[in-house]
Amino acid sequence: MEIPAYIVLIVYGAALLVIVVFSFFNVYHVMRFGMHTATAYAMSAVYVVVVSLIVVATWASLSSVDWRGSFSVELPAVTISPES
Amino acid sequence: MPTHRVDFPGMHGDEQILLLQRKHWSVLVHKLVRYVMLIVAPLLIFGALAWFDVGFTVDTQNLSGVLLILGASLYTLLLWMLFFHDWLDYYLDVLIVTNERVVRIEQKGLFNRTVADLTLDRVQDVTVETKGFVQTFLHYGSLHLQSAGERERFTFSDIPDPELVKAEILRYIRREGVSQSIPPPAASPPTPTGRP
Repeated sequence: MEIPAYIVLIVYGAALLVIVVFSFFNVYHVMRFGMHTATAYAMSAVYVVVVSLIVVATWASLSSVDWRGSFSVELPAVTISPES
Repeated sequence: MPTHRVDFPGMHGDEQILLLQRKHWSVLVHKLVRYVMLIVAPLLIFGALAWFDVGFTVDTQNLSGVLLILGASLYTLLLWMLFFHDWLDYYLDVLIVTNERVVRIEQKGLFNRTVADLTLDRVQDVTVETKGFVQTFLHYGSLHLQSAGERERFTFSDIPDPELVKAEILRYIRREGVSQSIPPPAASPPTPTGRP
């Protein structure tokens, strides 16, 4: 069975989108209610930088993948035979 | 009394912050331990595999290799996001004492925030509660403010050095005479001149 490679990327992108949305709300709360302290700004910056690094590292790890191709999936062969 | 150069939502124009207190650091550490364990656990597994010479390669041309990398990426992102969320929950819980009132701000998850205030002139009693070995050893506990009327106590838990916070509040109240229930310090008697 062949699975288009971009399907995996779409699933990852959807999960990443959810994380980004929650991250936006987290940073929004810090900016609005964090009383404009240096710690609040610093932690928000660190958070965004680490998220970016993780995404960049993931992209770099998968840079050699041909997303226009496909992956082959071999399902295990299962044979059921009645007991004689 | 020192003032802080920060402001908070709902702060009045001429209001001065006398004390700003967050919860004790052990509250944050308690939340973060699980994230550390969740990060360290996979690293320990891979380390153990390497120790026993169980090598494996991640082949990005196969579906399994791609799924492993994407799964590890999502796992790390999720942990990091939850860690930041817990830090946010800790950082936004604040006890603020101003020259007019005591404000308790509690963030309970996203989009759930409670801001309660108690004017200093309605403070009748200030109580400190320290429970257990950990709180006693690390010097943190709960602060309870009893107000006039039948309202329940105004409480802020897990604050460091609650006795000092209590002393600061009472010192200000007595010095300014803002509370009818907590009288100002008695005027010192005139020193005798020594003349018969």
